[in-house]
Amino acid sequence: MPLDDQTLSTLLRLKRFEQPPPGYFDDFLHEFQTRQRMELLRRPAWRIALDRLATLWNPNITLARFSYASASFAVLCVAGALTFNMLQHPGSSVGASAEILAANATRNTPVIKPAMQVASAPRARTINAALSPQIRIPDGMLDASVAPVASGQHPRYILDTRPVSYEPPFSF
Amino acid sequence: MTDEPAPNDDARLVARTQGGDPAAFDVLVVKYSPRLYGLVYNMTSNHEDTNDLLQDVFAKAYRSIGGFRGNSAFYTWIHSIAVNMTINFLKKRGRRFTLSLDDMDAGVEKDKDFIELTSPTNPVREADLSELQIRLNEAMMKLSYDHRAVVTMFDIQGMPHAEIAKILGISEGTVRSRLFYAHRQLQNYLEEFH
Repeated sequence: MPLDDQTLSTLLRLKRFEQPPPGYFDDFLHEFQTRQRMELLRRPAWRIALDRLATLWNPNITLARFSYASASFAVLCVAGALTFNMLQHPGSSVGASAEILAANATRNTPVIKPAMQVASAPRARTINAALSPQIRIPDGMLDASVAPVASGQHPRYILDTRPVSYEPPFSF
Repeated sequence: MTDEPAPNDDARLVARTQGGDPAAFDVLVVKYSPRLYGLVYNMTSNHEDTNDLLQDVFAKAYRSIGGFRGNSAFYTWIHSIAVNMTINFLKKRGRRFTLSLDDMDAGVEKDKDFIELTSPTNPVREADLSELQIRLNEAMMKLSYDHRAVVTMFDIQGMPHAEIAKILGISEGTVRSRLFYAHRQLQNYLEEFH
């Protein structure tokens, strides 16, 4: 004879008393958190990037959460604008240097390397006259037997390809 | 007998989780793990499998919570995930399984149903507690997965038909029908108690 409905229901309700050991649910949460962290470490970079993008478009996010991104973007814009401005306007130091170099190139002046320059100089005084006031070569250091340049022709001396700066050097 | 949690609390916790607060999801885990444990355990009759499955259920819920739009209660949503994942697991496991049963809580001996069942006038009285537990679980394992799910939710967990229907995505009539056939089968399997 089969069980009646009432007895069956009573038997099934007794299954509620089958319970895991005490403390199981506390450990369960801890195990879940550990597992979550492990999963985060194992996630590929593209998935992390995708999640971050998805988070950006989450409607629950307030404006304050965009502050870091907005600030970074503003700084990048300002830096970009300044760089562009410096390259475009000739008043800047970079622009001036480029202008001097361009002027030298258009005069058809032979550019002589410093070593050759000294060798072809007629006299030390001439060299010193051509040098800037800060740089003077002592007379005894120049070879006096060097043949002078033909009269009427004054050679141009260029000691460096870089323009001479008259600005005082930085001092620390 | 259902102690269904307040949906507003859940909605707030879900919103916080979606906003990137994992501590809010921990609250949901603490809240739902005993109930979901009962659901999965009574469908698998194996403590270790239940533990693994429950971890997977919460991990999947956490991953998918961004797509939860609140069209149903979180309670219904997470129960659906648990039932579907358990049924998929049982299909993979097939017929090869071993019972790994939890101990009966000491409170069972004070339960009026248990006292009534073991009274001298009741035919079930001769079966001791552990034997009764094994027979019940073996009978449950003979049911189909769908039948097992409705018996677990209705008879063991005390959910109403409407809630079970929402969780399984079927009509209430189908729930009643499955329960009817599942009860007939169980009555036959447990015939020897008489």
